[in-house]
Amino acid sequence: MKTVIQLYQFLLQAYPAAFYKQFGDEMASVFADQLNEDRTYLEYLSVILREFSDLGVNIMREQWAHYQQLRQTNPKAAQVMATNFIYRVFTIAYAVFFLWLSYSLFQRGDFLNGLVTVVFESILLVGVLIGWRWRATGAIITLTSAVTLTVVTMAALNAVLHNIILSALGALLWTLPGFAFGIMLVLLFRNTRKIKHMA
Amino acid sequence: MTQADYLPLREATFFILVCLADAPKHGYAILKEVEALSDGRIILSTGTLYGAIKRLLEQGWIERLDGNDTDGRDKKSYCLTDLGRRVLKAESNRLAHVAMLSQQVLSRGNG
Repeated sequence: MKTVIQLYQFLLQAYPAAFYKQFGDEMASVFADQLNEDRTYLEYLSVILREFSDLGVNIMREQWAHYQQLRQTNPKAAQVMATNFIYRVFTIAYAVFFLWLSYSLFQRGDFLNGLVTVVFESILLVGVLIGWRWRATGAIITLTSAVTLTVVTMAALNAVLHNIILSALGALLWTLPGFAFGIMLVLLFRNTRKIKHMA
Repeated sequence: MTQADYLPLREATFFILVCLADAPKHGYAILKEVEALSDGRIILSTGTLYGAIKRLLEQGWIERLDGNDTDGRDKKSYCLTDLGRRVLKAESNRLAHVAMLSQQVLSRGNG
């Protein structure tokens, strides 16, 4: 039960910061109180399912309300919030893609390509994940790994195609997500700084 | 804005206000009492309850009281404000009026 409560507490952080600050501790305490009641196994399961499914819906609702409020009071901050949301959704999609890619390369027995891809893509993924909290550092790691991966992929493609332009285009297409993440992080970093200056 | 402008209330909101009408309560007590008052029909999740509490605080219908529970944990209680009490009274009157009207129509139909 302790793990479930810790997971719930962790997920509460997805609420808007002001909401989390005001109610986060209380909500965790109420959730824990519900699990501390005497219940059957099925009742516990029903409480956990209800709480977690409603949490997702309520987080979306509160984030949307917060976004609407920001649009009225601080459009720049609303823009940052929307970019941040898109960035996080893409990060999750990219992490899933990374896992699938690594799995499929190794399953095919393509160990050399698998290893090179996993090493470079994991550096990129680390940069993207660091960017959730530290935008500038995340941007530097992401863009550096995207450029390196482009050069390596271009060299590998050129050895097969013997056409530098086609190889460059192919490599860029492959590393496009990395550049997109890097650019998003740079925009987030710049706009967040602007908001801080305005405040 | 008059109290009538806020009506009708959502059922969950109505029950939250009803359970705060007699004494201040903290989140867990509100959850349990809403479930009991509604005969188990309304089972609020923690997220839904605090979403509602946030809106009720913003509207000035309830207020937050600081305090600790018996274990010394920081536990906030909530109580009705005068405005909240007036809104609840207006909603209760509206529901009583609706119930009375429907009873009259039903008894006419039976007669």
